[in-house]
Amino acid sequence: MNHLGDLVSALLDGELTAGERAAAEAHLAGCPDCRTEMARTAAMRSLVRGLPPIEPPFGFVEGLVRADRRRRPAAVFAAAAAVAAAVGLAVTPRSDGVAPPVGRFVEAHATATPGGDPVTNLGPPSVLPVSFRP
Amino acid sequence: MRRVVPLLAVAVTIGLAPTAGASAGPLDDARRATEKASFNGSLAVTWVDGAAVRETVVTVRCDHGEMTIDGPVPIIKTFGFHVVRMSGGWTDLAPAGAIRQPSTSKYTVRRGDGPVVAGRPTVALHVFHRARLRESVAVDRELGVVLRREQLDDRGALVRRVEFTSFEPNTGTTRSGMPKQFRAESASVMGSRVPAPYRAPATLDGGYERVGVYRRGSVIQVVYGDGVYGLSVFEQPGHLNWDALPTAGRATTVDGHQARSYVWPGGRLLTWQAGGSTFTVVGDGLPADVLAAAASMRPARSLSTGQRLRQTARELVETLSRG
Repeated sequence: MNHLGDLVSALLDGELTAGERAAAEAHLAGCPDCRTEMARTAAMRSLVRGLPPIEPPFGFVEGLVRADRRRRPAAVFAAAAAVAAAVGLAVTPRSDGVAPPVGRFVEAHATATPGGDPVTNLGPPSVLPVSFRP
Repeated sequence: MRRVVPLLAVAVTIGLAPTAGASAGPLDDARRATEKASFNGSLAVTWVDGAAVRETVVTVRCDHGEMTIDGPVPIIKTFGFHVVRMSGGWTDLAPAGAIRQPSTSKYTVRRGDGPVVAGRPTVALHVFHRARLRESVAVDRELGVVLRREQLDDRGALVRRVEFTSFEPNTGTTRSGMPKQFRAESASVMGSRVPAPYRAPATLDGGYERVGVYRRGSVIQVVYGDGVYGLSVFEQPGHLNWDALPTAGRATTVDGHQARSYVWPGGRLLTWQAGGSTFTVVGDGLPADVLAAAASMRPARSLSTGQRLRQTARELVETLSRG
């Protein structure tokens, strides 16, 4: 039988079906390499999930990279790498969750929709403060 | 009593998109005519906010398609993008020109004699859906520019109106002044293949067709059109933090999931969590269509740790590869 590969992380996350899980556990029982891989993956998962949550603001990565790339490539590369890593960590579901920036989403919608213009595209017609009500 | 929560700013959408199918001709002609026009005018915007009817007036200058709108939040628009003045300066909010037009023929357009608007005779374009009038558009007979739009609800009552109260064509050559520097907050454009855990279905119920996909960090915005109205679905991997939402919302359900619903001056917004992701839908179309579209979003299976790590690496490479 082939080694478990990606099934290791899926097994740890409880995302295998009952049949897949039984087969994976049977393989683990007889495969020290996969047991080692599973232990390493579990340790990595604990490390990643133990990091404090970082949620960069909406559009922050693009703004950072595009604005500063020309001036300081190395520094920007490092900064962008850190921020992108933070974005990646933010992708991992956490107990505190994500906070949709609903006001910015309305702006993004108003300027990106097919008719996204007040007059020329017969689209979003005006410039008004965004407010919400139930 | 309804609570109104003021947020930052920007545009109200009543979103009459350039259309395709049976209704493409006259509406698209009007859009193209405005892209070539030069004029000055005052634009009155009226919208129904609950029981109240609200109105504001902005000035518009257009020089061969480069348009400046001096409202509470100034906007400069040219062919490729919009630039909006936010609190920190000019910001490019709109992705550069990657929106295609939907092919839907959900609406039909009938042409007729229009009213006099801002002292100018017009041609009327009446937009119907299932024999019900949804929009009336008044187009300048001479220039082809849209001078008035009215959006109606299911009962035929006015929802929003945009109308020039003064309109003066000109042949001036003064440019409205695109700012030389602005914050680059436009999203990157994604192709039709969207990686997991994002969904971005090609179509949604309510007649919506995907016309573009953009990405800002871990958020993707999937833009849809139904031929007249627009709808955006924002997908964020992770569980929804309900406490972080504006309080002025109403509890509801979307496809059986707990959700929060808001009305904004340009339409409706819904946010909810399903399958490990948080979805936010912003639409300027009919409320029933927006709800139907939201309910047809199916969450993807959540990612394993290994998939999440690979996704992080991919995002890192993609982010650093973008110019």
